[in-house]
Amino acid sequence: MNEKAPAMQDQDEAHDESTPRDELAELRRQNEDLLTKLKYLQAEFENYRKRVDRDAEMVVKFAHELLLSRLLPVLDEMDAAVVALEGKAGEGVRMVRDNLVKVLQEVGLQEIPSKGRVFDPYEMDCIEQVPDPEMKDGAVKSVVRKGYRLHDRVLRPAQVIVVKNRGETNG
Amino acid sequence: MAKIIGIDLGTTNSEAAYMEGGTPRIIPSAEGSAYGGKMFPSVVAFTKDGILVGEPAKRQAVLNPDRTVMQIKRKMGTDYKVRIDGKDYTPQEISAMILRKIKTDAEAFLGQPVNQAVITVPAYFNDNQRQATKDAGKIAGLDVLRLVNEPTAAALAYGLDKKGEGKIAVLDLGGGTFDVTLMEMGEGVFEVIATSGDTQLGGMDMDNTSSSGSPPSSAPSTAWTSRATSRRCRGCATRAKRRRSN
Repeated sequence: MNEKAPAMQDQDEAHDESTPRDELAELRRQNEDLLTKLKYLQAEFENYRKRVDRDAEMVVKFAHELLLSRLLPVLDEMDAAVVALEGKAGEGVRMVRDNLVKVLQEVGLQEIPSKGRVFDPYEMDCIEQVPDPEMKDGAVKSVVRKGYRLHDRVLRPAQVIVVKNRGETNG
Repeated sequence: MAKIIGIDLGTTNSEAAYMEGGTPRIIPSAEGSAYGGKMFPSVVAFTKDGILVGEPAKRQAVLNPDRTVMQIKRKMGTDYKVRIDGKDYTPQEISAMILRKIKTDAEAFLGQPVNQAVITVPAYFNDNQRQATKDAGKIAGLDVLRLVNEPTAAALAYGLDKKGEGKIAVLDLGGGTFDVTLMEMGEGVFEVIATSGDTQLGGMDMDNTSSSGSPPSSAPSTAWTSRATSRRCRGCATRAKRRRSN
């Protein structure tokens, strides 16, 4: 009854054959694996730390981004009011608008200069092309909606109408 | 350990994410997005200054329509070629340009090389379309470890694989397509029972519909019909839709 089956005996013998040298080799292999994993984790943690630092900087730098994005349509309306209103009313709105722009500039908002410049797809959105023999191909003829940057990031591209006299402009 | 990124290579928009501390984090596009969020348009443009991908490509499309390629995903797995300045480009090559931008943005964001990716594909994609997607990844320098069905990815994102067994329906309303998939899940495995949808219906159609209509009686007819006004109206419709969706 106590006799082991032949297969189990083989297993026991195989187990008995593992020498201290084998065990040492196995432990060394495991140790190397762990060291490699540790190095990867250290490198990953270092990258993570850099990303977190950078993220924290960006959060501070662009803290006003959402608020500014929501204020831009208000600024557009004030621009339109300045154009539409005449006399003292128009002058008053212009002063309020200028004061608002000054405050927004202090937190990093900058208007993207567009009119007359060469169309730049990184800062401008072309919504129409028109011929104008007096202007160069690819130049911005008019700005339909002003574009703004917050520091170095485009908050809203300028919507522009671009001159196209020949068959091709940007190809 | 090298990061593996997950890529949603969409018909209209694309984006990528990676796992950090067990949760997915989206990688922002380098140029940002005009309407917020972190995805960018799946648009490629060939200009005299080089190849543009994403927002800049879309912004110059009016000026350069013949060299601007949109919705190339619809042509994946076919013999279709885009001919630009006498040179033919396969859908795989165009998609690779989108994937290369994702790779570059991911490397800049993560601060390490990114060579491995998982890409999602519609459940209805056949073998040719799946192979074409893998080829696009290879051209872009990415080792595509796996293609995951889009509805499966959506189910995984909601943790449904850990919620036992059952049947689920995934409704994927994208920018240009609307896919509906019925799946059976069990032991973390998702099996597609049926998939269908409308390949010509998406968020862009909502934008077009809600921004077209009769002009107010006070509006001058020339102003209403100009292309610039139409583009502005569509932009407003997109922003309004996104604001209501959030």
